[in-house]
Amino acid sequence: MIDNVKQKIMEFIISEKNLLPSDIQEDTPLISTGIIDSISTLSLVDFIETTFNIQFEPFEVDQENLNTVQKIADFILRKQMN
Amino acid sequence: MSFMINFINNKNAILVFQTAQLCLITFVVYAFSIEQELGLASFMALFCFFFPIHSVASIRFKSLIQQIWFLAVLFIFLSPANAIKVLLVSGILLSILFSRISSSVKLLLLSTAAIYLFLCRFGILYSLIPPHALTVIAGIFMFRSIIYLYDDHHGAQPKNLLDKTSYFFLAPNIIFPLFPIIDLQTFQRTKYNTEPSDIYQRGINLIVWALLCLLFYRLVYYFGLPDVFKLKGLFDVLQYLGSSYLTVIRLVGILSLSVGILRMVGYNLPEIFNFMFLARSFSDLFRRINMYWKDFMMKLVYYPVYFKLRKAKSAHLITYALIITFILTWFFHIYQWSWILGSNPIRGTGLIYWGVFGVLAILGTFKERKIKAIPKPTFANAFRTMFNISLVFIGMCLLYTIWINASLTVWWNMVRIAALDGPVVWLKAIGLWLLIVLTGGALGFVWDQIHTRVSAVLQKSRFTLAPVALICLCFLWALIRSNQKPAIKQYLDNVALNSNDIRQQNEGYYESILKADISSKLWDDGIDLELIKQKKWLTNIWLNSKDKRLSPLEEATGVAQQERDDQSKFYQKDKFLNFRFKPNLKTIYKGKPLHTNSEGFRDKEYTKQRAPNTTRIVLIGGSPDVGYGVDNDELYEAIIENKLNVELAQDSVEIINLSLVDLGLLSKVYVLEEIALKYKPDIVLLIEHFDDADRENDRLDRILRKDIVIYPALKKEFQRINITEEDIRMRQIEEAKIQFLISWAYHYFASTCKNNNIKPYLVYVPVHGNSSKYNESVKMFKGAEFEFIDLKNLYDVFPIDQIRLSVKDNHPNALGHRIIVHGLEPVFRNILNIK
Repeated sequence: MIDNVKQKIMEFIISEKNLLPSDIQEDTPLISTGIIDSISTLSLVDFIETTFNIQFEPFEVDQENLNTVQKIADFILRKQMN
Repeated sequence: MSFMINFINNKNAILVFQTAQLCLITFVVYAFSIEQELGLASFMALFCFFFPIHSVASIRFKSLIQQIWFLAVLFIFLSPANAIKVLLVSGILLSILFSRISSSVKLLLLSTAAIYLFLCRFGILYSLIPPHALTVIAGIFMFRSIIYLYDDHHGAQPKNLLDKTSYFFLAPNIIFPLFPIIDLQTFQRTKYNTEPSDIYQRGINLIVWALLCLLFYRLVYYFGLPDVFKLKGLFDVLQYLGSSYLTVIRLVGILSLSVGILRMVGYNLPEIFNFMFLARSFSDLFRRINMYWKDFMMKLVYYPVYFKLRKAKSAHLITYALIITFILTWFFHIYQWSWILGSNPIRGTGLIYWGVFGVLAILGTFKERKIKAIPKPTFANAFRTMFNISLVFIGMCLLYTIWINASLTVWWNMVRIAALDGPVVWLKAIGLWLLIVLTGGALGFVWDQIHTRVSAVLQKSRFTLAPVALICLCFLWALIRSNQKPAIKQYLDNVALNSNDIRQQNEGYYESILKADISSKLWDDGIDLELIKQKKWLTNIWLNSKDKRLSPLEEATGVAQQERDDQSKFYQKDKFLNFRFKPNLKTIYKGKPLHTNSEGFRDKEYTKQRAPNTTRIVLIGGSPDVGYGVDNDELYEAIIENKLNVELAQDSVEIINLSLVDLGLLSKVYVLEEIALKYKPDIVLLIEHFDDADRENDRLDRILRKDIVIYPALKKEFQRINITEEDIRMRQIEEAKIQFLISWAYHYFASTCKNNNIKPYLVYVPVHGNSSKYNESVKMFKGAEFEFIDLKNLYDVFPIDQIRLSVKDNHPNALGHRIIVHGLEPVFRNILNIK
């Protein structure tokens, strides 16, 4: 299941930022390297909420949860379990 | 090579190597007098001692050592009494923050405490805590308490008490009131998150980068920034615009220094700036300039507002969220500078700056949303990027100079000067711009091709870059130390102000306009004067310097008396004069007691009628003669008067001091005619410090800005030589006309004295920093019937730092006044026939 989550997130980021699939890996830093900025972060949040049926709180929009594809997937699973 | 690998793998060797680099950094800071106003050399010397101890300590003791370091800096840089006050207030605030009461109660208690401290900082409420100690408290809590409260509310605070206090008690914050907004989550997340030696080296590299930025700032400050009132054409204006904006690099230097030092105690914090001068749009600039600030705004404003609006199903979600974010960015900027300066930093030009910048950044954000593809590295794209960079740079130059100028009139006048140049000059400027864009585009294209390789090389050589740069800086220092040219010496010693700041200082000191502007050397004037001396004392002890004059006791007592000046507290409105003290004042002024008589002059009470057997002397001078920054009985006039009266058995002498702050020659004529003559003096001493013509123009401009009338005799002269008020405001008076007025004032002054049977003396007392106008000024009063007393060589044998108030204030201190006594006493004895 987690691989499926990661796959969807990667596809979204690649299409949103017009990247090549080889440009990002699971552990590529996204926010700290500027691949996604504050506005794209909100697009990503909207995408995650609608695709995985979870609700973000404002304080959850941070590097701790969104900096890599792996962290995003972990966060989604954590939210879904809660 | 294998030696290097072994060396890098040997932890002890690396520690010695990194401590050596830190010592070299301290030497460079001292040698180049970098941020000496903030006491950086002393701070770094202390850190050289703490760094190795902190590095070798086991992880559980590191936070404790960090706290000891904070306390050491606090007690050394503030007096012990003030350090204890800071700790007590911090203890109260921290106990609220760390308590288990609800977030809303915490918010209420903290807001109440903040309002109380804010009123104390502004001098509205009396406080036992001196202003500079309040600034330290503000530096610690003004942003970090907000972030802590927010994270605490969401259950993300540190568990351990030492870790909690570590977040607040950051030693560099004591000397840098302008401190990066450190995010609590980032602070916790990055603590020793990788190999310690790598983190330390990242810290050293950033500190060295910061030093280079600060030295570059000084280069621009002394050699690049022309006087805004002496711009002659388009290219002068362009130089002023570009140099002014480049001075922002000081902010890069100061904030990077703080981050670098924190890295050296294990916090692997991210970069704070990202080559802000290469921003391609205004929104890109907002991301590159002070990224910690941007993250703070995103976390506390942008995301919460966005989610709130989304819940309310608001259309134009992002637009509203961005507008609110930029309004609050401006608000937090004001909030920060109010704490630092203890005065209101809101200015119309600041509003224009933030308003236009906000609109441009929002427009940029929407434009960027439409562009998804990352541009391919072609020459056309590199050229386009450079074109955008140049537009943002030009836009920022224009906006920034609006912000740093006190009035739009000055800025507009500058634009008019540029517009007056013909089309040929404009075509040349456009040609130069295109050349820069093409060259920059070509360099950008080359960079696109090689940047991956260069980054790899930089990563590999991360342990050698800083030492190489430091050794180069030491060689540079040795090279310029041997050069005795005044301009070079000034660059190295960093003790002088440039012409713009000298004017700002005059306005700032006298009108309490303090600049919330990092490009000026005056931005920290409001913080503390005595503390600076104290730091210098520390530097001298550790680094065996020459100045051993100041004792800790002197400093501690000086610190306790520091008080912020408030124009309304001291000055009354006068029909013709820029400033006149309120009558019968008993207050603290510039950190010293100040008493005024019923006429509003700093002297004792004198009757209008002269007593028999009394020689009456009136003294008319400017701020040095008011005794600016010295005690009532340290003023040279008071010392001489007391001394002579002790010696005169039957007779007496009265020296009536009618000096005023910011009293130029043209206003001294008014003081003579309207005030001095009422005292029926035998002698009038006109004390002159020989300012340049521009300064008289500045004073007239300030008088007009306050709607004060130009007094009749002078107004008549204005009409005679065709000077209008508009000319004064636009600084368009020809120098010859100002010189004519100065010459007229000398002659008018002397003849008025003669007509009233008063003997006029003109006494020249030099003030360090503006004696260059001596020869020019002496010509001005040629023919006027003054007895000229020339004290030109008064201070010649004294080092400048011993006789002035501070690095940024050339007014004579107590010793300076004693030297004036030494020079003037024989003159008085001669006048009064006393042996």
